[in-house]
Amino acid sequence: MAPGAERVRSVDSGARERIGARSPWEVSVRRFRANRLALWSLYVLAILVLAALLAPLLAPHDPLAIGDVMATRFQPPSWAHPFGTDEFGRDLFSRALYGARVSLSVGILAMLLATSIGSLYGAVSGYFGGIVDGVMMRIVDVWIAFPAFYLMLLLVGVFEASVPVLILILALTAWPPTARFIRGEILSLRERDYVEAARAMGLPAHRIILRHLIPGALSPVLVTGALAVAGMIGAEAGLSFLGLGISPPTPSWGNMVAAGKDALASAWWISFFPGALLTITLIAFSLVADGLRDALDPKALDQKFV
Amino acid sequence: MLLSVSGLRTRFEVDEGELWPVNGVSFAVAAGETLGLVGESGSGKSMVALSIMDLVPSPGRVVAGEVAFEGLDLLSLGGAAKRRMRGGGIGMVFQDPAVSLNPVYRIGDQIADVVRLHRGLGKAEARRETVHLLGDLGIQEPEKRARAYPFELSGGMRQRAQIAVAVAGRPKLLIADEPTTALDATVQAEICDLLKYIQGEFGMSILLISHDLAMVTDVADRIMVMYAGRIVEIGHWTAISREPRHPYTKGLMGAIPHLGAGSGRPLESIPGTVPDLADLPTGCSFHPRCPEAGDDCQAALPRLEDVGDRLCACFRVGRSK
Amino acid sequence: MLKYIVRRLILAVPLIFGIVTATFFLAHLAPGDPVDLYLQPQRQVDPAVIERVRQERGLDQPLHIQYVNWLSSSARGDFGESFLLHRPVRDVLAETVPYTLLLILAALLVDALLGISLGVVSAVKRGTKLDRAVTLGSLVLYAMPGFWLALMLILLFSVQLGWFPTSQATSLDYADLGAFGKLLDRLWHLVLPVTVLGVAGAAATARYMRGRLLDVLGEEYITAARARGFRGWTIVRRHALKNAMIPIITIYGMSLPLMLGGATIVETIFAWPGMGRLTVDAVLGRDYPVILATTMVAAVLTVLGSLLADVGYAVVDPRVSYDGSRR
Repeated sequence: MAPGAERVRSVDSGARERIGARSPWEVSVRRFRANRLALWSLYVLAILVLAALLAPLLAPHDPLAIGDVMATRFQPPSWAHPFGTDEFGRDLFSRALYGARVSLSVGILAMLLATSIGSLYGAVSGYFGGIVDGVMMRIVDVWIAFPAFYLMLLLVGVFEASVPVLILILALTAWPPTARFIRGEILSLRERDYVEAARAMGLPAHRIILRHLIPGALSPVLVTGALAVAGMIGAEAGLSFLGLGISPPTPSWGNMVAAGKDALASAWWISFFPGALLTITLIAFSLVADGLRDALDPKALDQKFV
Repeated sequence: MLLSVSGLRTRFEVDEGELWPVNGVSFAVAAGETLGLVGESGSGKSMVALSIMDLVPSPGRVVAGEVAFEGLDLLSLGGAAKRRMRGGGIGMVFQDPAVSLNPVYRIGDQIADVVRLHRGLGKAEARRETVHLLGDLGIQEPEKRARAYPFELSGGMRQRAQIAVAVAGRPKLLIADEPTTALDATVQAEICDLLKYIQGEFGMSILLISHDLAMVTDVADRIMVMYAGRIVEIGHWTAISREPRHPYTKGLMGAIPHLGAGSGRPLESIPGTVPDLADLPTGCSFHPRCPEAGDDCQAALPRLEDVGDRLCACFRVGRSK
Repeated sequence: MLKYIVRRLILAVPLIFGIVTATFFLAHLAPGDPVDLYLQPQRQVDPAVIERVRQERGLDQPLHIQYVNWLSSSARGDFGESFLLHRPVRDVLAETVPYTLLLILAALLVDALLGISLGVVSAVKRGTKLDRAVTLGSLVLYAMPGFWLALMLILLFSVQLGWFPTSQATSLDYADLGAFGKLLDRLWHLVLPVTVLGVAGAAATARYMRGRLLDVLGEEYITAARARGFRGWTIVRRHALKNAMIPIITIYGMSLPLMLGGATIVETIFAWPGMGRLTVDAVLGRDYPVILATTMVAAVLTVLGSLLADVGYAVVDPRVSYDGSRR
């Protein structure tokens, strides 16, 4: 063969080799790790989750124990009580650790529930299409018209708010965006050629969904999921702060902040620390979500402007 | 010479390494002439234009060379002088007017802004100039059209509008980057005629960039061919189109359908693909795809040499026999 | 344009109908009816009394009849009588909704002014210390729970520094003040609550504005504008900003429900006499007529808010043609 053609072949295969080196997954992981803020946030979250899980081991005192109230109440932060004590003399550090359990678990479970409900709803709506889809989406429109917090207040007012019910209520206000998204994905899937081909080959519907929907939908769902956990934690905190969520004596960061509300001038630490922990947690989730978004959906060359 | 470029090099630093879309480019444009710049996608031709205007997007930078326009070295100009040059000395037309015109402003306003910026006219005068210019460029009912938004115009009219914006500052040189690529075939011919008209009527020089060799041959006085960041051949359009001598140019010409004599000949395409700018072959960048390549082509880089009626960078093309 | 507005208004009607229906449905979701839930936890009441109250409020009727009653009375604006306050809910709403609207509108103003300017500065000075500071600051403020921010601000500005009052919309001696004094007094009381709501909103707006402006600055018409010789800030102000603001308007409209939610907490902390505090008290006191009414009002306000946002969008973006479709 002509000398030129030989060289063409070698140039081509070299290029192909280099391009196929990394899978999209590996690229994403690497990008995420390069994002220092996101990485550190992930570590912070991991520490918090670990602390929450190990609360019984880590807490120096019993979060509910009330001893000699007069002697131990309203003590400022010290080595014995890193976060001080509250009006009943309870150690706030221990309470914060147990509060982490409540706040984090409620938030995460609520997000998982919301994502499940939303995905199922959206999948059914998108799959059936037609009138079913129309009606289901109208319901979503109405649902979204209610401000989320008001909806929560209404539901809390109607039902007794035990922890499982609270998780359900939180989830019930958060599922619509996921539903819309999943429905959109299913609808667009139908349009795609390779889905036509797959059906022509006789693949059953659920197989198609699993194979083609999941990989594409995974990244956005992860990103919104991280943000949703933050939202759920914040919502639970707000409700508990108002006295409508987790009730004392069970510690939740929200009701702990409320407990210190009237003693701000004299005992600032009661409200300060649980709120600070909440803020740190929410910031960390936001940064992780940002990091995930950048890692999974990279924008092209960035520009410096003025 | 109106514009004189020598040794221009632009570098991009990316994850994979360094890219050199402009890798030692030198040419000149005389007053009143149209110079065509031809190359495939990825040859770096658009980057030549952006480098001249100092609009290279990061992570790219012009790292070497001289760009002399009317005696001034553009690359070392300060802020205000550079802004005067842009639009006032050199105008630029981009490929797709649908994205190069601001979608939320009327085209008349966009043109008038340029007129006021570079010719110092007041609002009312600028308005009159705008209408006059639009009419001059072949737009019917210019007063009415001036109040239109870009999305309300057809592709051809949009491109005329963009050209109006580009020449509103009365620049001496117009750089047209793929001005016809986004247009229908019939409209392409109209825009080509418009460019020729501008050159004659306004005495402008034009640097016409395109991958469409046939279109450039129609409009340009001289043509230069670019491959992988370097110029491989420059010459008068008759010389280049009738008797291409660089193997790459020959390949490009062979891929053009010809009507009439020789139309029975099959279209030839150049085997292989344009090289990745981050991973160029050693020596002559074209040698892996070149039917005339020899061992010396891999070893050393051929420079642009005067071979009689043109400049050519190829070891197989020596001085005229 | 008018056609567009009318069309949007018409589309809003079935939505409002859906809201009223959904509220009814949600209210009757729990086992037992509102009277049971209201009375039982608190005291043992004579069943005859319960039955009479039920009859008075029409809760002994079959569900579908109750629904029709609900629809018609809601349409008339009659939301019944508050269990706790023993006054028509409509009157209570008339007193409280304006306060909430005042709070929210002021907060939206702060949100827009602060958020947009910070977002623009942050985008233009991308990568500099200023950008990093603004980005980090807005992240912290955005993530911070509103109630905590409120308490910290109270601690700092009211308790420690004594600059602002901690609660209420007016001072105790308000009635004695002159007209100008009254205005100042109101503004003085507005500062902290508006700051809490507005700053959180501004943080979100700044983040979004930054991202959006960066997107626009990457568009080809911006490079083209630079090629015409315009200065950097002129390009930002004149060429980029209008394009960047377009989706912000929609986002703005969507921030209303979030602000309404935030307002419930802020009003409670600052004892601001608005709809939010009313709702929280109603939930705590199981005052169902009030809860249902305020929820509906909040939802309707949300719908109106997004309607306004849509209209605003059409005004700013010339590509939206008059029948509302996007070319």
